Amino acid sequence: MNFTWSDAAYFGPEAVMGLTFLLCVLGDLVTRGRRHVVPFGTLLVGTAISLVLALLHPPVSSHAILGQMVVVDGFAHFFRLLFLGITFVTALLSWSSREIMGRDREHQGEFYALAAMLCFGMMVMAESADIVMLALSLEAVSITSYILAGFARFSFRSSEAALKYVLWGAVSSAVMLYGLSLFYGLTGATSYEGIRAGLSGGQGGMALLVAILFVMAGIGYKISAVPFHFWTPDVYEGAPAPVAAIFASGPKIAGFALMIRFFYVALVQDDSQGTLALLDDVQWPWVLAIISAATMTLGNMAAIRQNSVRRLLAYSSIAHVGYMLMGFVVLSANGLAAVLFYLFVYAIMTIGAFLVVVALNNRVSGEEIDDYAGLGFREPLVAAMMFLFLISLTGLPPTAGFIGKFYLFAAAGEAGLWWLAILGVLNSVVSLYYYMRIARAMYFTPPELSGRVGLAQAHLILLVVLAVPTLVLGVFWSPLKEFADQSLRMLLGGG
Amino acid sequence: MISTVIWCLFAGMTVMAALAVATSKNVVHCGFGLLFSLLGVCAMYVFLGADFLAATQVIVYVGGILVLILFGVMMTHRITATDLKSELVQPVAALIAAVAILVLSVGMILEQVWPAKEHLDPITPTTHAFGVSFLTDYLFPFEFASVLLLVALIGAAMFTRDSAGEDSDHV
Repeated sequence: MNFTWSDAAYFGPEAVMGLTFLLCVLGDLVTRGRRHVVPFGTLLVGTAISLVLALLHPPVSSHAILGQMVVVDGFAHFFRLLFLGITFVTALLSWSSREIMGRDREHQGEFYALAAMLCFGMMVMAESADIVMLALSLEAVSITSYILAGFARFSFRSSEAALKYVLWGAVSSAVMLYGLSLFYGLTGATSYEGIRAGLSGGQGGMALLVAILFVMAGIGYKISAVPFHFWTPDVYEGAPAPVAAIFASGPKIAGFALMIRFFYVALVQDDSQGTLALLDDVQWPWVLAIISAATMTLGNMAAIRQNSVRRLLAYSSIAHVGYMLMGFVVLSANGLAAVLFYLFVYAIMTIGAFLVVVALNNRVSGEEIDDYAGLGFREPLVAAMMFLFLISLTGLPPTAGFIGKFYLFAAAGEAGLWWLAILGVLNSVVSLYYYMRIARAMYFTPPELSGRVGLAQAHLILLVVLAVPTLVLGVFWSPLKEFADQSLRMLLGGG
Repeated sequence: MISTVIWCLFAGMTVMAALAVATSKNVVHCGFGLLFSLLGVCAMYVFLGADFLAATQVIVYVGGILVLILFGVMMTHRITATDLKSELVQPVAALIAAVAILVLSVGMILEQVWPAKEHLDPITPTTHAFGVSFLTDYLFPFEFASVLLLVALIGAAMFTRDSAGEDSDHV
């Protein structure tokens, strides 16, 4: 057993977020739920402290801590910063959201406690180095998500969304746990390293295939890849809009982080020449390449038919998972760096697009595309931002989305998966059509009402804050790319 | 030999009871089916020498969750009169998925050579080892699980509260 106080130094940001969760709960109790500013402030301060701690002490090498349960390395650091950023932004955007706070701000401050817990869980997900921690952290994020999905308790749709989410989640985590137990049965180890060591002795075969498929079912549900995506549109539509913004970014990205670490530590061997070799006869990249192709195509095809902006964004987020899986299957450091880059960019532009939905939700009654008619005349700034996010989601220059997609397609092409890269480009063209339907409604349809919509100041500021990196990363992307490359070095180099 | 027969009896009980849960349209029957299924699993744990797991299975699932379910059924007005919805949705896709899972699982069981022990040791208490590893190697997962349970509690309290803001007055 090696459990020392020095572990705490590496685990600082996570510990602070865990503590923030408890303090939020406590703050809400002490003020008897009447002063929402207490949990809100606690969350903001906690996230800020955690962010400062993470930035002050970036890990310089890979540290397996807390009894080898979690690993803090550059990879974990990358996602840590991303999750903290997401939590900070979503906390700010939900403060002025009517759906979260209620018309008379009567809703509970529990939202902020749950947001802290979600962040804590996601950070641990990205750091898990043991299937025990994998299952626990995934479950923590899932359970928090179920509660958040049903947060608007008196809304029928919110409750329905929560129930659907729970049922799907319960089934897929059960399947995943079965898969994980097979890994243990095959290798007698629970740590990723131990599983890799056990499998390299030639324990493969049918059971390994089943184990990988079943674990993929659990992770596929978390990142909403086809065919485990059915819950996504309903949950995004039913859950309060700020929660949908979190779901589309946070847990999905955490799912990717968990998947990358699990597959690339437990099931891949590094021949220390920059290329990665598969363990024995496990051809999981083929399974994933097919899932990737199906995910982006089905997501885009379904998005075309949608009239609700939120469902459209939900299906488009499924399509984006397909693009990102492309970088995951190519078994190269370049491919993974492209995924990390895209995850970062994806978080910014998706939260941006959902933020527009949140901001308008307070004022405009519906969420159909037609309800956005004439927005370009009524709220030029908001419409321009939305347009920017949509362009970035499509992947057109000069936005960050273009650079991200470029790296992904390049990585796929480099690995000889040309069919997948071409399919990705074709899908991007299709996505242009439905994204531009929103743009057309905003700019080419005359508004039914005139005058300004009148949006919360906080939302406008946040929109600008998110729009700036979307543009800047489109022309000046090398720092982020280098950061992504560097983050992966410890994961892949250190084995 | 005799232990194999007993094992098979318990396995059969588990599977049959689980089938009853899945097919029955009466909530009460489902509940009792679940009882036998869970008890069958418990018996298997005993056979495998997992004494702590077996006890936990009885205490948590049979004694706790199942009793709660049955109480819930009893206290809900006329719940036995409502027909459970069990209709076929997308039979083709479901059939393909089910057959695929069946083929994979059966193939796996028949084909795979598992690195298993030849002989099980006579049952020795595992609780001591559990306690030690919970507070040493597995301390972090243990604590993390407790935070996880706290979240679940908060969620349950939130969903079942009458209406927001009122109940904080009558503490």
